[in-house]
Amino acid sequence: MTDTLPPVLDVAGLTVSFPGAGGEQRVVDGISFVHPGGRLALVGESGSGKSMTARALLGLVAAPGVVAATRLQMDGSDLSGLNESGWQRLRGQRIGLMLQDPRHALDPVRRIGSQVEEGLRIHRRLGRAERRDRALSMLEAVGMPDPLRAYRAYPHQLSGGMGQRAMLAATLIAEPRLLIADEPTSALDRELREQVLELIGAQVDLRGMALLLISHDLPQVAQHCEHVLVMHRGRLVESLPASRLADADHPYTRMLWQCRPSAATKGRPLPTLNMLEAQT
Amino acid sequence: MSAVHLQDVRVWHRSDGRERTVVREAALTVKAGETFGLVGPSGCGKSSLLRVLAGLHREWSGEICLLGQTLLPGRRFEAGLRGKVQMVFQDPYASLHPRHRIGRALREPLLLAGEKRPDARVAELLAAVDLPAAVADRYPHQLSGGQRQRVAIAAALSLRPSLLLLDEPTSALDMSVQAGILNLLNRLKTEYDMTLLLVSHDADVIAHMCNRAVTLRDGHLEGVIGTGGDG
Repeated sequence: MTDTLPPVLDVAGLTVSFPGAGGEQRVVDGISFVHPGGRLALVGESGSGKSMTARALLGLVAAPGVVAATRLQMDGSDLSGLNESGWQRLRGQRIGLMLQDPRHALDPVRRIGSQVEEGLRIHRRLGRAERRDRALSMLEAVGMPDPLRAYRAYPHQLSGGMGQRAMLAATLIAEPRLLIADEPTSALDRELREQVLELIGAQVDLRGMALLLISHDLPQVAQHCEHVLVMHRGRLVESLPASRLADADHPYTRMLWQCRPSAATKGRPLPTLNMLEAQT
Repeated sequence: MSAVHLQDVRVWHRSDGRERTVVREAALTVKAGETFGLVGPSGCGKSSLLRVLAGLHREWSGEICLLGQTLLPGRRFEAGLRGKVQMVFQDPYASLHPRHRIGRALREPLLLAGEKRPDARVAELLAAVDLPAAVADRYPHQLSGGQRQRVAIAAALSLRPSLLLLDEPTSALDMSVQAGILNLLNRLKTEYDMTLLLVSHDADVIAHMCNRAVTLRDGHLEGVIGTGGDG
């Protein structure tokens, strides 16, 4: 039965282009992939087009950017023909987006509680008391030590890790089918990164959601995802199970896999993109 | 001679008339020519300690000796020491003047130091950090994050420092860009015969770079860790 269900995402020939001085610039250049459910990682460096891919999936590419695709489907329904109100129903309700830095992604002058409830206000018909109850239990579910205090706090009163938990709560509250987390831990300390990724993974599994985790840190996301897509200069250069990353084919994937420093690399130069280009 | 020697150092910040101690009873010695790490979570006081060593924060007490010179609390560095101790900050986006071209940013300290051929020296500095000479005509926003951090390193090198203080120099960068910057720092350390004091929250970066390291937690230094290999 599950075989006949359409995949969460089915994307073919997705292109995002911007007009530039030397003609059209393709920041996403005809990529195709299927998200079967579970946890999928999209990995690449700054400028590889990974965040723009996420924006295209959410209908958030602003003019003069142009999105084109031969197929853009979620759960079997077509996204490419959606109008603005269609996209608005999709965003938050079916696809949740979690961004890098809570200091920028949260509204600095609104309390956390109001921001967590926003998804319910827009997508669900609930009374005020029930919205508050759900927001409080969601803040508890994402590991806020004192949910009531967090509910009343402003973003600047929370630490980076707590701010990120608040953002996850705001994203999960409308129970989306797919969570897109775009560099959700890059603004955090190493110790916190693991904790937040664990939390995202646990919540995704618990709620039966699909995850698209976007990151530049290949070794780290590999621990939290089943399958990995590697993107470079607007193209997908590799798609493989996370368990097979150590023997990836593409030199770019191998560089991303090996460039993280550690005690074992001490005294040796780390592989970089320049070395890669010098070789080819 | 040790490059850095601290004994019983306390660092505090003042806000609303109250003193808040961020580092207490700090004692450590960094040998000349080594790469020494200072690791710890956000808010542990590691950046504050580094800013004291750079002469940017003067509210401290105790004993500090930098490159053989004893510092006095509350006082500026002596002229001779200023160029010898340089700092590279975390955020390459914030540490360069947004409306000055890179050439101007690099030329300014050279002119103050009485450099006779500033333009030639700017070209040398850009080459030292593997950037093309044309970067001198660009503005910071026209460079990538990694290129900007290379410019910040070039600026720090311009007065030929003996001690380079690095405050999370790669934590705003992608993993692969970080790799390039770490390689560069290791090469420059040898070429310029420098001591590096590296602050990071990333224990893996410390392990890759450093001969020895200490952990700073809640303002306290906890034990020196040798990370294998001396030299």
